[in-house]
Amino acid sequence: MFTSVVALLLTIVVEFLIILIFLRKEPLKIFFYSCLINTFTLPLATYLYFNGFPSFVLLEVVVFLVEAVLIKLLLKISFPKSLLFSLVANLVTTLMSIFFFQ
Amino acid sequence: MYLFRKIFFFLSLAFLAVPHFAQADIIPTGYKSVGYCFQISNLDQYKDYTFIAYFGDPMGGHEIIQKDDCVSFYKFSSPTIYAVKNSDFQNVKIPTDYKSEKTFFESNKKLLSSSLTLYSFGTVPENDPTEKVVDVLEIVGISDENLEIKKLKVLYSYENKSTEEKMYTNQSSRPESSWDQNSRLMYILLPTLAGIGIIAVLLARKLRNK
Repeated sequence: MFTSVVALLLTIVVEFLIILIFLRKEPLKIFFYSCLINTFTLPLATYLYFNGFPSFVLLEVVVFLVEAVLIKLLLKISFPKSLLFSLVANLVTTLMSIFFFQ
Repeated sequence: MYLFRKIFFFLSLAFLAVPHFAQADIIPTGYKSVGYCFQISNLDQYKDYTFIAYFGDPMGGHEIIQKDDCVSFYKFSSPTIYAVKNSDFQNVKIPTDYKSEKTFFESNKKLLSSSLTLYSFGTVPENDPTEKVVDVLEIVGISDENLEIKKLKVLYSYENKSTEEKMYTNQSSRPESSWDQNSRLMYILLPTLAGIGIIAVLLARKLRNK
């Protein structure tokens, strides 16, 4: 449980920083949206992973797409941009989870 | 040659399928097995009886339950608990071959069987700290024709050496550990609240723009 909470907090911070680096504005808003998006996707993804979802890679793809849509809707940016932000953010956090939590 | 290739192709498909049957005994990636056993808390109150767990299909086997024993069994078995008067059990030898043993337990009128259904615990996700689960049973009563046993409580033991006891309130479902309850909070409640937050932000924005 503690590991899951730490993973969530780290994911929120890392994804917030990545989007901030791209957008360079409204940090509080980006942080708030990062909290919402990752609190929505990470626990659900973790639950699915431990409860029978067939493939980690497929799960990450689903998470990447869902987050891209949420980033687009919340930050009011174009879909290609949101895809890019989501891709970079999820790549970084996935690599972190592989190195630090496995 | 063509026929040989066809046979080889179908044999290869068959070999690809075989691991899936063998996988019934393999723990899937991301999961771990948890030790499980059951014990009877009040055997002392029934000193005139011998209690036997018969494990049934698919492997057979049986175990005489002693005080303080914690009986474990093959994960796909579903044992039945029998009671027999000590006077009827003296000099009785329970057969060890599968068929004779099954006949012994199913047709011996001196054995009283409990209708209690027991299942092994199975596997849990790797991040679950549960190490061992013990079902504690209690003999409710024995008559000439009936053996009644109920599930009293379940003991969860965790990796950090702590234990937790949960009383059974429903005989057909095992009480969840606190970890399971906290997991539900973490994995379902949090994303639900976040989802509601996202919808609220989008709705508020839509209303403001009207």
